[in-house]
Amino acid sequence: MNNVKMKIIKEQLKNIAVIRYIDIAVFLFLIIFPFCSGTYWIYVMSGIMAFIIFAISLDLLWGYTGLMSMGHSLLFGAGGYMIGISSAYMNHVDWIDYKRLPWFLAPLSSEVGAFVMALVLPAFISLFIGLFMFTGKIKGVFFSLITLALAGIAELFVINQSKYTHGNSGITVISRTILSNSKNDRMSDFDYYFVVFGFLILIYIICLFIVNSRVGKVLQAVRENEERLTFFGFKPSVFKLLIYTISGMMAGLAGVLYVRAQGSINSTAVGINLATLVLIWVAVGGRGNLTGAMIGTLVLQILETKLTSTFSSISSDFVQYWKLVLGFIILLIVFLIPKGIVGTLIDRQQKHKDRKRKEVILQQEVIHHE
Amino acid sequence: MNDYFPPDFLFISLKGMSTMNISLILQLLVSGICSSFVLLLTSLGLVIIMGYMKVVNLAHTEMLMLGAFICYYFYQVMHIPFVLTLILSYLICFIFGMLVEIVVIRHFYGKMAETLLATYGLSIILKQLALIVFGKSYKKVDYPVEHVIHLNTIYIESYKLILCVISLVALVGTLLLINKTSMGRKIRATTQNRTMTECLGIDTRRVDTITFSHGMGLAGLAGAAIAPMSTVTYALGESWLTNTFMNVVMGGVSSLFGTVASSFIIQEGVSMISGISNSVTAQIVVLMVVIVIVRIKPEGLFTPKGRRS
Repeated sequence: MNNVKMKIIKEQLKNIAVIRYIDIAVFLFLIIFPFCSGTYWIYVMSGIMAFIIFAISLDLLWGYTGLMSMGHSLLFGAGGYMIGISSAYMNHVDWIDYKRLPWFLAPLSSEVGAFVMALVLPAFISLFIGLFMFTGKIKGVFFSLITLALAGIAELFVINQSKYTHGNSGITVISRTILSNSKNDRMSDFDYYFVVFGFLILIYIICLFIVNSRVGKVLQAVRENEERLTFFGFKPSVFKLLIYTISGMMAGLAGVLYVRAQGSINSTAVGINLATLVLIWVAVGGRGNLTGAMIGTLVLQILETKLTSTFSSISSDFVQYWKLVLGFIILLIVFLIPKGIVGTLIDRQQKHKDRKRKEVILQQEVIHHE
Repeated sequence: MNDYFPPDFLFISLKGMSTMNISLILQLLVSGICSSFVLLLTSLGLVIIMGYMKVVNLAHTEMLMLGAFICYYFYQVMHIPFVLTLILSYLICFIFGMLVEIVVIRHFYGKMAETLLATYGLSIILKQLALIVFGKSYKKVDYPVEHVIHLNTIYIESYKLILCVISLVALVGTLLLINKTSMGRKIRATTQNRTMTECLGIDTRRVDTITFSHGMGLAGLAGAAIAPMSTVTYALGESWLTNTFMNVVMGGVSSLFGTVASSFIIQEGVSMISGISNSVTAQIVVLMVVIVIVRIKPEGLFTPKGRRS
């Protein structure tokens, strides 16, 4: 009997490890990648890794807590624009016609201040939105719709405040460093790749820690059954607020890294397009396990870049065809594998293991009877 | 000194206040009323699908775009009378809605995230197809009537009045359909108790199909109706996304009168505030107000008490 228990525990350990193996494989791939590809792909890949952080932050919110935010790009863009405005102000770009930043943007006049602001502002925005939504009875789809509307408004807002954000054309960020905004500090694509990679590992470990902690368990309980959790004496709103704030901060960090990696930010970074794109990544990869978000983002973004560069010689407007394909991909995913790629893999693994376990137990019983 | 002031969005400029007089306020009020009818028309289909089927149709705004293109080709290019164009666009979108319901939506009842993703996928497909088929160019649809009515100092475009009428007709028609016909009784019965309705021998799948297609048809009608006052491009849907969904969130889905009231509140608010500031500021302020209102009344503005399904 003891033997069976041990075996079950062993199998459970194996089961936990399965997705983590994929994670390790992804990270190994990301480490090896820059050594065997050109500068362009390293540049593209560091942008994609910033997007992976963004997708993980959404997975924390949607996959684990069940809050389907359709306007997560609001927080991503808020982080990115803080760096953008700070960089433009400190380098005295020619379109700037103000001499001093207003009091609520004052921290942006220093490098560290800009970085802190880029993390604090998204957290503050999400705290503010969350305070209103989670303490009330706003649930499920209404949360999604309100965040969607917020992302829509945010895009208009950014275009409208062209004094600071340079409207539609966006801000070019020349410096590619962790903190500095000076023109001369410019890391090579290769070096910056590893900066982003380091942040990705850091965020991944933090997320793993959150998810496996007691708080993470409560968050999953919020997703499964909020009413029952209330009966157990928990306050779901507090936990939702906590995770929304953390997720917002991570999205802000992703924005910062993205701006530095890509060298520019414009109004699409706050809009509905990016907000729904990140939903698609997470849905394709599979939600509720951090791996899915990473795999989904990697696969779709690499596919998009590859296809765009291949077909750009045939049709200059390949992007529109890609979006059409993306639409069909979503429909297919929702129809065929609603749990996403990684979710389906886990399910299959689980089924296989269950069957094996059953066989083992049956065998044991037969031996016992004899 | 301008540098020390916060940007415009944080306060409503007092300079604008002083120049406002009664006639301007009246003008803003009237145009606010007109645009609230337009908003009501554009979000009616969404509310019906969401209220009676618990399905959030993210492809709704793309149906507006489709309706606008139908209006362009039938009315502007083929010179079919405007009223007939409206009816035709309703019918085409109705049939399209039927197809969509049977192929896609039917499989996802009761699954919120899946429905959102599926309808979003649908909306991308529609939008990109429109871009590929119709191209990027802007298309303009002529006003069916170009008369402008003068009332003392207030100007009203008569087409906006016609839009009000269309919107009222759509509202009253829907209310009659739901409250007076046998089909409407079936729709309400299905919403209240699906299993019991099936026991009574009613094909609830067919009822669902018709409810959904009616909502889609209304979206097509609305799209055709707003085509003359907006530029018809593949991106037409995007510009309505925020307002229609805000409207639904605020008005709630349990009664159509909530939608009527919330479209008035939203559009009057936007119109009045944009008179003293700009329209984006107005939208932000109104969205904040909507979030506060939703916080206080999460079930919508008018909720029938004691008999919720």
